[in-house]
Amino acid sequence: MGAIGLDLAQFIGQLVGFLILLGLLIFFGYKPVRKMLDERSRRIKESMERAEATKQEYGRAQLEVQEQISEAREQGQSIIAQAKQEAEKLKEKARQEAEQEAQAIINKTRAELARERDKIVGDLRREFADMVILAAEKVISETLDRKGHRKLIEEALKESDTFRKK
Amino acid sequence: MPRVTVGKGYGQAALHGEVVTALALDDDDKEWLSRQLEEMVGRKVIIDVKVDPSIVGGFRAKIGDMLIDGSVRSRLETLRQSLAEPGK
Repeated sequence: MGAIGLDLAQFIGQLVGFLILLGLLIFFGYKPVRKMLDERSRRIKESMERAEATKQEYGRAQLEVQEQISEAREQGQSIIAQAKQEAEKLKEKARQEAEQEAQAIINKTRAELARERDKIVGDLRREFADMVILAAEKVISETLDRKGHRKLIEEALKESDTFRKK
Repeated sequence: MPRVTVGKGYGQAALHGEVVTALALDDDDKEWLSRQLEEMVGRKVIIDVKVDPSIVGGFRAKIGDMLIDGSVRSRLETLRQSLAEPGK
């Protein structure tokens, strides 16, 4: 040892001192640091777990919201479809009622027109008949002579006799 | 077609008839018409003739309870009805 200039006793003393210092450091420094590091690591782990749980919770909530949105959309579409059907039914009913009403008005108008036409035709026929009869009366009265009068009586008697024999 | 209504209860005595014509009848025509009516009813008929221009022509007679309407007025009324109401 002397060849390299190292004093063995000094060396051993320094080594012992170092080991003692190392032991002290381990005993008084490493453990608290380790404990602190473990505590921090635990807190970080817990934070990460909470974050993970929160993330999962968020994911579930998001899915739930998505499902609710989908369900609400389906319900909305169903309500819209139902409303459309109801609207179509109402529209059809209103159309049929309007058609029936229009047909009733048409029928009533036709009947009134037919009555009016029949009345006019009847009036015209009666007026025509009156005019014909009046003209015939006038012609017969103005042209009837004794001979013609007797002929009319003969015809009447002949027809009366024919009538009686039936 | 003249309207003739025949009732019941004839006797054998002469019947009195009321005849209405549009123009006045002379005696020959009255005699002739009486004979025609007698042939029709099968009895002696004595007629009383009145003039009513409103029957237009022909005659109307009431003999006993038999009525004969051979007037032009009656025919014209029938014609008027057939013209005014052809369906009836």
